[in-house]
Amino acid sequence: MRITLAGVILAISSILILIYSFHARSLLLLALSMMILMIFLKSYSDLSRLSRLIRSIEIRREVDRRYVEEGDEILVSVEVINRSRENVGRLEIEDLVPEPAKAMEEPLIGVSLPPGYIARLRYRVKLPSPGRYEFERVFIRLKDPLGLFTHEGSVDLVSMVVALPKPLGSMEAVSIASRNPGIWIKGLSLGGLYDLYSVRDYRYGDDARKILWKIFARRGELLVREDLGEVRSRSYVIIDIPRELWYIGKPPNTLAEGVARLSRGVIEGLVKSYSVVDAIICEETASRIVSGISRSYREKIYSLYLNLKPYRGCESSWILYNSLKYLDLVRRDMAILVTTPIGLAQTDPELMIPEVSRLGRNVYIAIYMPEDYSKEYMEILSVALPIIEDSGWGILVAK
Amino acid sequence: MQNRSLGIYGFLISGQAVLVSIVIASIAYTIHQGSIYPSMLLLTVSLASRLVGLDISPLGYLAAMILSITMDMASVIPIYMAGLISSLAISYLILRTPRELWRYKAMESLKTLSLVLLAIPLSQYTWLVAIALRPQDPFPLGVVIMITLVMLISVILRGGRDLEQILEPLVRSPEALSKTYLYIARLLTIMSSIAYAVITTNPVPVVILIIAVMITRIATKKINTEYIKTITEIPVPLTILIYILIQ
Repeated sequence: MRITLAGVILAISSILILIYSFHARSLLLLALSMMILMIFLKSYSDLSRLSRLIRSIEIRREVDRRYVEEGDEILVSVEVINRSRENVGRLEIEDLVPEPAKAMEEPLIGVSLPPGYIARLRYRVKLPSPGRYEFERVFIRLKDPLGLFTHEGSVDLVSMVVALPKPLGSMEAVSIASRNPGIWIKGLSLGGLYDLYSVRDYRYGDDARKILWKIFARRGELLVREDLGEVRSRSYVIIDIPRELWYIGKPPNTLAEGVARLSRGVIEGLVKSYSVVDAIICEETASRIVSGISRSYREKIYSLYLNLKPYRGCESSWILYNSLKYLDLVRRDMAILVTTPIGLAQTDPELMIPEVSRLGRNVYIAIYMPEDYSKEYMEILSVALPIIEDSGWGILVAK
Repeated sequence: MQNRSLGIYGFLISGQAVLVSIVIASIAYTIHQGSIYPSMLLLTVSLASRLVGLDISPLGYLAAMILSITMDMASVIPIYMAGLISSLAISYLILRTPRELWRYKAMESLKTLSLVLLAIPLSQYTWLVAIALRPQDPFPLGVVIMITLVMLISVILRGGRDLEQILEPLVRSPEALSKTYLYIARLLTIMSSIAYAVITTNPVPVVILIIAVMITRIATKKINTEYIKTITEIPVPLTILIYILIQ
């Protein structure tokens, strides 16, 4: 239990008046100061009694949408239910909004709550940057009627909202997507119009007509054939967003936000052309793989940006490239690295180039350049690009 | 966390605080036209509180009271104090409340208001008694009588019940008997001390009572066992009784 500013002022002023009443020999002032002190003590005892009720107060939080685009607004509602049998005369509810989200209304409300009643705090929040927003703590403050003392409690209620970055670099995305080895047109190859691309193990959902029954009868292995005309290309998209990128540039156009937008543009471009994308993103000290982002499974893209927390990100680009060594990743048709000149400057090319090269038959690097890029960025690129070109990667610079 | 920007909730609270401060400053200046500075100080802090968006309007009342004390303007101090209490009470009354709590809120606000207003009859009654008993210097005796009366009121308030309900546990809840006995004993001790002091114009039993109650309060804070707590309450009435018998 804590005393508030009003409580401190009331206590100080009543003591001052008490002392002054002796100087002024005024019984009225003496009586007044003593009455105020009595109110002060009454408030204290009232709140001491009420503070035991804090465990009987139930709190719930709901958000209207869990997945949005950056810059969108969501509606957050916090419900507080008085499960005790006593009146709560004065109750304040305050929700903690995660950075860098901005509450459009103050997430604070003061109410009186009889037993069994529900108080609702509703406010809108704008999510200016892409990534995961965690609403965590709700504060409740019980107060005496005059607000002289307060008893604060908090509850950890985690609600997550993911803001997708707006896609950027459509030209670059189309450029990459157009180099895919094939598109997926269901059923056309059944008449033998297309060449055999590969034979692979049966997976749940495969067309039963594509099963190689003769091989199954002979060897007991359930295999299916894939033809070139109907195979989906599979690609890796490696997203390099180290933490410091969040602090370069002005929000909402920091380097980190630019890379996130470019990465979504690249993924959307691939998915539109029937590719299946496996994305690799680093959060704090570990890399995460979100596999199988495709036209029929677009929700996976939300899982990808669930691993991006604004103003957190990866501890360093080195963690991302080093982790590629230890992940059990098979070679795909394509590997696309999305990064910035800063990311390149921090990276050892002897680590990055071989690790990314082994992931794809074709390797591209998409470099995000902010519109107001500085001379230093050009200097970095003048050193890095010849090395990358020598290793046979395709280079795309997006602004 | 207390002094942060309060949004719409704060707008209501600080908005009413400015209105109350304007009214109080006007009344205070009308009552005592010696100086306008305390009232100006109050208004300035209230408006600053509104503009900055921080709930610091009570500081204005404190500043006005301190300035009034330094300028020896005793007559306006109760006005500022009433303003401070009103401002806090109104911030409670304007809270969003279901209909079921209106009565509860009205009762709570009336209780506070009655306690503040009690200062007027209490001081006048004490003054009358003191001037009747010691016309040459009534203030010291008045102080003693008043402190005892305030103790009596606080005992009644701490009981949290009306006087007519005191005997209820005797009938309904035998477990609460020990507390009821103590409650009655405290009331009787205070009343007999005041009565003895007034009749004999001797404030000593009241002074003994105050000191003994203070010691008992400190002792009971240290003790957790209920039965021993009960025993620590016994010396106060006993001491008063022995003193009266000796006299």
